[in-house]
Amino acid sequence: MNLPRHAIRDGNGQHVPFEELYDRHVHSIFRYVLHRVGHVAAAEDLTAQTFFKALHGLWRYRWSRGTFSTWLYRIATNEVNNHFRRRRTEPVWQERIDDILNHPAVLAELAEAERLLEREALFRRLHQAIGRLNLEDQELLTLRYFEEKTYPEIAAILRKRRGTVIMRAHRALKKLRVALQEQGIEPESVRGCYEKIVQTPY
Amino acid sequence: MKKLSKPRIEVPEFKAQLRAGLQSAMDRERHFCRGPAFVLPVGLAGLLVLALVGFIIFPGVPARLNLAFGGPGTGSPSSPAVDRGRWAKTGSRPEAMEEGSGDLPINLDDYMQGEEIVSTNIDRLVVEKWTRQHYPTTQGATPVLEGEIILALRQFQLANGRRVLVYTELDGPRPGIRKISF
Repeated sequence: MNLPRHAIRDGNGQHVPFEELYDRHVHSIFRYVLHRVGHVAAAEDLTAQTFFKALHGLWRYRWSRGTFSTWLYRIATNEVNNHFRRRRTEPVWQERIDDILNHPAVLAELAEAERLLEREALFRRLHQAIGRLNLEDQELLTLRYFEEKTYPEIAAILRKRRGTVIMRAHRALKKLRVALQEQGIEPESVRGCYEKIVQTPY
Repeated sequence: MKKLSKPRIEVPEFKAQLRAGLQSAMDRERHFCRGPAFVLPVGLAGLLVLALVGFIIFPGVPARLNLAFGGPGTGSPSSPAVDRGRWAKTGSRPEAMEEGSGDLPINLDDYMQGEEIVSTNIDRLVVEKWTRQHYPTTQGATPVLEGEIILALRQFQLANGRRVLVYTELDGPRPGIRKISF
């Protein structure tokens, strides 16, 4: 049976259309990007870029290994990193994304969302502290402690060995402790992250 | 961080608009025929490869095509290919000779007074006049070195605008010999 152009085959051999994949993953991808960039407008833009890129590169996923979620997180991670490195180029679908982002209902919602985010004072300070680390540490800490991904999942997304990811996570946490203290945040107030490490089955 | 309250930002309008935008892109792609976009470049590349292979197998073909379509070196009368053909016919290689000014305009009426056009005396007068203009300090007689030679003169225009004259001896001691004057 031929696979439709905008669909993938799941583990049971069933066709999953892209619309369904979008519904399953849009929330987690938007949340991940928002945790990385800390701005709703940028998160919306990068989430849209991620899904348009996924749609146009769906044939690549069919040739790759791993879950669709992992592949999508990888695209989102690259988009965010390019955003920080200011390397982003104008893709062919940029005009379409601009139309979405400039829709009056989306703009009205954006203002409200930005106000809500402003109230999350501790998150903002923590985000600022994480923002002082390098991009590799940022993506790792966000995936581990905001998205609560397992180390094997992170290793698959970042295409690193699991041992490397665990070691880097410990180092990144040490750097974050220093950065938090410089920001005037008591690391104990966010010590849950250390408990998470202990709980993680290696 | 695990205990930290994470921002719960919901953007349903954005998600709905993005879904609609993706749906629209999918619809457009479904109706887009990729056949020509794929077949044309592949077909052209295949033709190019075939042509290259043909030229390798039959190396004389490019030269023949060049001749057939009048490419450089084929149509110009002064081209090496034509000259080689002429030399083969005449049996000797032409000699090149550069002169300062081979196209001196001289009105024959100044010299013709009932005499025939081809005349040693008139030619001598022309040469003496030319000599006075270009070499005013030279004095003495101007004897004729050879007997009379009948020439065919053909003019060519170079790409840089200069004119080239080719003299071919039709009769005389070395018939077929060509001389070039710039």
